[in-house]
Amino acid sequence: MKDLNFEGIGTINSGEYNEINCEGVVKCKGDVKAERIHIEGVFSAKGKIESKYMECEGTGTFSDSIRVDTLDIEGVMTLKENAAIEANRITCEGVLTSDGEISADYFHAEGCIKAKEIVGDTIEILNAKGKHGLNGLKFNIDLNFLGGYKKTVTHYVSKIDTIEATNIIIEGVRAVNVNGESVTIGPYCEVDNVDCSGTLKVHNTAIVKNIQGATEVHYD
Amino acid sequence: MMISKKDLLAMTGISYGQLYRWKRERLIPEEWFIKQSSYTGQETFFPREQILSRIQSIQDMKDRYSLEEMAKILSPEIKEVLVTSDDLAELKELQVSTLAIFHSVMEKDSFTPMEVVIMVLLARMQNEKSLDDKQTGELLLGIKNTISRIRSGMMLTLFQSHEEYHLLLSPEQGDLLFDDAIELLWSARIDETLSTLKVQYKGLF
Repeated sequence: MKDLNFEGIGTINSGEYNEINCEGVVKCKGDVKAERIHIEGVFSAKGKIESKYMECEGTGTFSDSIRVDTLDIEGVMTLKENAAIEANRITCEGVLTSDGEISADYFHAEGCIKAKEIVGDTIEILNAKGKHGLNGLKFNIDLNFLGGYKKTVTHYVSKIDTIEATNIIIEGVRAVNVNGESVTIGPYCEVDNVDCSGTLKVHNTAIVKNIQGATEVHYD
Repeated sequence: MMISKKDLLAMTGISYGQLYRWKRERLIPEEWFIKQSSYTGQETFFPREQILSRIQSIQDMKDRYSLEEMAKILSPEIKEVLVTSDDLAELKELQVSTLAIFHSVMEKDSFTPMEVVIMVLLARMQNEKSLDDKQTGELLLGIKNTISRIRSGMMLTLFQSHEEYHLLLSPEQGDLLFDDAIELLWSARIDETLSTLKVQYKGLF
């Protein structure tokens, strides 16, 4: 299997490759299988991607499913049209946006996530000590002027509809549903529904509207 | 009949991590994850019998096979080979009389793996419903030309109408609703039998 190296503008047709290195602007037109994919430039894919290892340090836009063993995101990765990610291990220190299901045994993010659904065994989204300018701060701004008008503005870093896993730790996340066995809702989270079959921990700066099923609840 | 994801995990004792790992490894088909609206947005349901049976199979096999091997065993894909009469003699599920019916009705000595699956199912059905060789042969003759069109996710059903037996090949999911003159007597999922045969006779399927 051959390697593909791009430093300018290029196109990849469907096929099997050993290593794909994208440092320029690359369009992928079909389904691609590779041992390793490294993105430092701008990469867009219309077809399915299957790889043992993928690293996105640049910008990656995908319109079909991604199946990888390990995925490291340090740049910006966008999945469109309900494209799903399946991986054993995902780490994200950049930005990940997805309309589809993200499924991983281990998902660890310190970046910014906007996703419909993240599922797996262990999910850690730690934005409260993040590196992206917001530092996990929750801004409470009282606009107490113009006739006593008052409004509280809340900022969180990541927004996810559903998080479902055996072990969940989240910080600085806005979520609709969080379902798990061992769940920690950390600082500056806002969660509508938590369904926990084991121990639930909730930080005192977090807002949780409904709790179901937890055998033990600890408020820090 | 459906079962919710929450009830499934509670009943089987498996974790979210295991469920999603098995889905990623194609041990559980994606189409079994059926999303329905609920007051919290969406809830996932599964076809109850299929998912419980599949989880039991995975738990039985997981100490003997790797995830990759299990995926092959549980996948509805089958080899494109012909099973000879000598191979069939190894199948303890088949009696000599069933083999004779098949040779006679199908008018050949070697069979596709799917024909063997149907052979095993008909042998089981004949035994459980006490059908004689003539009735079994007539039922086989009725589906002889349909066997090549069997796809993943189908089931075989025996029903009786006005003292006549008939077979139906239909998708697993969804109910079969007949009028009162028709009595459902027996049914079996084809993929499940195929998986069992793959485990027992690795070389053939």
